Amino acid sequence: MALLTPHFSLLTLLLPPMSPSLFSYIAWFIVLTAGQVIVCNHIHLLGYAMPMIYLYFIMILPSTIARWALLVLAFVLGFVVDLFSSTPGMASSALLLTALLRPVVLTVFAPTERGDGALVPSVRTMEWGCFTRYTVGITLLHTTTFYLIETFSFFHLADLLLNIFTSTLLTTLLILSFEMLRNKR
Amino acid sequence: MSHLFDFLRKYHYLLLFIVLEYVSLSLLIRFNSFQGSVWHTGANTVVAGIDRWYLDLWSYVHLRAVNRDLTAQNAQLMLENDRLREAMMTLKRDSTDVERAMARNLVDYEMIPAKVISNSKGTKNNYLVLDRGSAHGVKPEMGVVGGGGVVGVVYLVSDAYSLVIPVTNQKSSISCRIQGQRYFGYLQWDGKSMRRATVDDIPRHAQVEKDFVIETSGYSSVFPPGIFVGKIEKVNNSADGQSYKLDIALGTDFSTLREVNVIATPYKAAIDSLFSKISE
Repeated sequence: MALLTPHFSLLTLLLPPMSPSLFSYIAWFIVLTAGQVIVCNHIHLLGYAMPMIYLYFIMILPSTIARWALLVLAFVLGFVVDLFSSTPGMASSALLLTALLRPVVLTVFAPTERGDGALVPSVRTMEWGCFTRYTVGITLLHTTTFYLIETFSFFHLADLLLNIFTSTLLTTLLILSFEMLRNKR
Repeated sequence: MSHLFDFLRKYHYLLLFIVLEYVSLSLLIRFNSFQGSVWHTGANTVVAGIDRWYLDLWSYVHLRAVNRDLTAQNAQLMLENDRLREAMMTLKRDSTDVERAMARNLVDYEMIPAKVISNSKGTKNNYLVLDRGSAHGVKPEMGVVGGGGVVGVVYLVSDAYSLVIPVTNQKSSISCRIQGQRYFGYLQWDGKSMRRATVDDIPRHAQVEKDFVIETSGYSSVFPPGIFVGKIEKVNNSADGQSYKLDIALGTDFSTLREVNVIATPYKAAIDSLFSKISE
């Protein structure tokens, strides 16, 4: 029914901040994948930085999600991104490792004063400081794995580090702005 | 057993991670040429290294048998040498001009001794790996000979190893002739036996019989002329009936091949440069 209301917009659809619906997750999946393959894959800022906005999808899933489900979702997401960037296996293998370690990263950066309940990562539940650190952690992990797999060697260490650093910076900025948009009322 | 199930129940996602990561990396290596090339060359160096190590071990373990064989062979050769010397004394036969010329020619060839470190047997397309590569002067399209005669042609070369297409590979095609006659044909392998090959396109007016010697023709620059290939075992008609198809018993036993020589043909480069001048 929400689809038929006159005030319907993509943003309202993506916005349930405390308990995002399944539908909003599907919408994020499509928006992020499309944004990645249509826009972000063609951005090579200064020849080094490539934003990887699809990470946002893996980040905002609730902490209660089963680890196998997280892995499967990461594989599917990576596979679709790879399919459209004609780099089969590259994003998916890096994303799988990120998904495997996401619960660990989340535990490290989660606010200490929260209870044992489910945590849906966002600035509402974590505040900006925690969420930014969480974003940097996940992004750094993913870009590092991604570029290691892409270069497949340590020969050009300076280039590799520059790639990782600039991409982490750009991706973090984009993800934080997504987060700002999502929670803007 | 229940502990195992507990473990699986607790860490089943790790298993899933390994499976999915394996799929991803397989896709990566299969469809991305750069990562694939790194993986394949890296893996092949490892495989060749292991093969070499295994061969060393094998040779060491079989030293006693090899020694016994060598002693027996030595005794036999000395006997044969004596007999031949005796025969030569009685016959006083001089070698012909052609033979002496060929011996003189062969002196100019530089031989690169190599060991076979990997040898596939019985498959449709066999390959050999030698422990000599471009670092030792081996180049693609050099001929390879063994104690039993022609072995094959070098196909690919890396720094320390080279891949040889032997006679027992269906891609192999070596120009050869009947000793003492000018008729030549191409040595092919039908994939049936490691000890047999065929020579096609021998004209019907050629005089061929069982036990005639087949040798390289020298028409390609890979092998010098006159290198032993094998003996005629049977003379058949070719499929169209226009020529003979000869069954050849190969001189080289590929199933026990260990020591070979790569012929560094000195005039190959000269011939190639002549051809390139024609095309200019």
